[in-house]
Amino acid sequence: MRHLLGALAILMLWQGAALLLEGRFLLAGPWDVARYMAEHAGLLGRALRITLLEAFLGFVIGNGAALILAVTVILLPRLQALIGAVALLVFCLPLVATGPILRVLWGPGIGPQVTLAALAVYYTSFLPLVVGLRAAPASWFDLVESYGRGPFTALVIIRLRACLPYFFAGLQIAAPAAFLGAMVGEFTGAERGMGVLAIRAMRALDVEATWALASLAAGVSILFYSALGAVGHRLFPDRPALILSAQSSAQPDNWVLGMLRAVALGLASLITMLLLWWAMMELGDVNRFFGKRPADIWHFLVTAPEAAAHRATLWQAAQDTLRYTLPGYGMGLALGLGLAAIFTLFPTIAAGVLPLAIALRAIPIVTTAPLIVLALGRGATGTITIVAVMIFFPTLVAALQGMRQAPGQVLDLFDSYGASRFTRLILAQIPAMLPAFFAAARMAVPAAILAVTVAEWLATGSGLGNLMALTASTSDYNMLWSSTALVTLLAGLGYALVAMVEKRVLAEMAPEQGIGP
Amino acid sequence: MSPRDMTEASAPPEVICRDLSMRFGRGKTAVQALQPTDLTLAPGSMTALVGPSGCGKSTLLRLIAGLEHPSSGQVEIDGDSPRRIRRAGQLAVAFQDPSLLPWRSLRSNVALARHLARLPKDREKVADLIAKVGLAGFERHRPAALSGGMRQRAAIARCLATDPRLLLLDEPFGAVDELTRRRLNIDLPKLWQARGVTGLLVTHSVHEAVLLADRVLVMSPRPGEIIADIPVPLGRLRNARTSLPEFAQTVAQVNAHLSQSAALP
Repeated sequence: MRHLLGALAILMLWQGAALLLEGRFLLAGPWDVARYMAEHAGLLGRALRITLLEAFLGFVIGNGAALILAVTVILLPRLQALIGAVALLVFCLPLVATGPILRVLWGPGIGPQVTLAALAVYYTSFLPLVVGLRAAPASWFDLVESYGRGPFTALVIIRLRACLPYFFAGLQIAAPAAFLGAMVGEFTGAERGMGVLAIRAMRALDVEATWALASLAAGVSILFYSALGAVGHRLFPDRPALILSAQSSAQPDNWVLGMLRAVALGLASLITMLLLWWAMMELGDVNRFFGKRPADIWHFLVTAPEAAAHRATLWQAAQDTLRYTLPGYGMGLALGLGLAAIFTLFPTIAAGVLPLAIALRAIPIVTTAPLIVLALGRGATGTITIVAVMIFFPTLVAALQGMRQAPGQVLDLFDSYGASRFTRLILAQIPAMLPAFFAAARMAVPAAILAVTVAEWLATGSGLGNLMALTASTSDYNMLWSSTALVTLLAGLGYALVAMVEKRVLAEMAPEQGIGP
Repeated sequence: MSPRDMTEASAPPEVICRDLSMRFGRGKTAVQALQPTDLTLAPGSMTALVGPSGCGKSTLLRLIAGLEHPSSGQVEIDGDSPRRIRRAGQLAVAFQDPSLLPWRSLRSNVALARHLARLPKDREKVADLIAKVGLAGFERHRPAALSGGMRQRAAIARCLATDPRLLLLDEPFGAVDELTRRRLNIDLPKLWQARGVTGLLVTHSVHEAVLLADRVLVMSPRPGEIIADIPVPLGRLRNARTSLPEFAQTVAQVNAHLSQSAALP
């Protein structure tokens, strides 16, 4: 009932705003959107069917890959850090560049969209799977070992079953992400699908079509997210709150050793990435004009006569991108955190808002980017807003759920001293929230990069996103590969930076909440 | 000797620990969990190990099971490493918590031991054991629907489902209330005493140790070592004899060693 009222309130606000802004080509009200959908039901239906098919295939392939990776990590624990780091870097590959590259590799058809959908989901499924495959008491493994059986039996008898609730929680997040991957794939030169229609509508300034497509994408995402959530709730009533935890390893004795280990891991994953890159080009026998190798990029950026100019172009674009990314990232985190704190102080509001926030979190914001461009223009405001909104909802949900992790007994203790809500928030609820918040902040780094590059390409015409789109269309493949590598590197570094802060803060504030080795 | 030969050799094994010690961690934070220990468990005997919390009782049991690797010394079971008896499926360990898999029914949890030990399915045996531990009628229940005492009994039934030759019980009744524990102390030992197994029982209940074992070993606080070896003079199935003076004397003897070792300097 409350959900219905909330949805109704949103519809009324939306209609009101549309009436207010009438004639300014910004906002189509729900009435216009519904009419557009009814009039173009055939067209939208065909596009939706294609995009859903791509998303579904990507969903299956991506989650299958996540399962294989997670099982490998469990059976070969020594490789965990390296596999985790490389999996992250591949996840950080900018869809804006991988889209055109995959387009050339795959040729026409749905190949690139499916690949991008798979790339968009595998990492967020991999993380909870690794946690879930470990989520069993040690004595269960002792039991298996006491009958002389090894890790493989433990995997089959215990781990694969014990991880199901976690796997399901991952699937729930993956469903909207797969839809996002498929749509972004369609942005980059597909023949059919929702993404194609969205780009066309935005370029033609067709407000009704843009809003109708964005609403449809949002609605489908929320639907799948809620449906999977409901099924999961049915199957696993006591499933865990999903926190994409850091894969913390054993704490090193001192921080110098820790730093050395981090640097070694960084180098090892970098080398692995370069090897993978090279091997894929060589084994796939990809045309050298298009499929650049690491050595080509080294030549382009370092040893070529015009290398300095190339580096300057790249550096300028990177600066532009960071100028939008950092404020957007900060604002998204701050807004999510601030709103979560307010909702926690006034729990009656939170009870109504949390389901709504969880539903809105499912919307792949990037698929609605054309809307924001329409509303806020092609300048800095629009781009920063896209980044902030992309990060805002996951942060809000994680922070709200995290604050609920504060143990009831601790809250009772505060109440028994008549402590104020504010004291309770600062001393009990915010510390309890930190692990969930940092998990969200880490995952927000690749999300921010994705949002900013898509926005730059669709709207601002500056930054790395624009550079990648531009060089893809002018066949300047050296520059395309260089910016792709740079974006991936920046995302990986940003993630590592947040993880470092997280480790420090959690060691101080919440040592008992770290997931054990 | 192949595992099959060992299945046929169903006599209870002899367990010999030589100079066995265990140290966790290294450097300043290292903990000596077990002082070098020599110990022999006679074939077919039940030995109880009592001592204060954290004295290394469970560590010693886990070393014998081969679930931990000793820092020094070795464990020989019939002249071989623990690995062999484990691989032959002739070892059964009852852990401190019942360790039942929550998604399996009671019957399926008991049958799991036979599966893990690579023994053929035996529905009758499983049903019989479930009945013997007093859980008939609960075969289809999940562990969550059983009480703590029922889960402990289920774990014991699982232990016995493979006809083990070596039975290691790590506080198997630790998580149940005193009344249930007394009933389990009377009901369950009959099941393994009839079979001829070599056994080690870790407990911190002196009453339980004297009731169930042929011999009680007392361990000192950390770093643990065996400080007393007390034979229990009563015959087996002695639950009717707990009122005899010998029983009370043995309990008093064990208690004296325990309180002596626990006295603060």
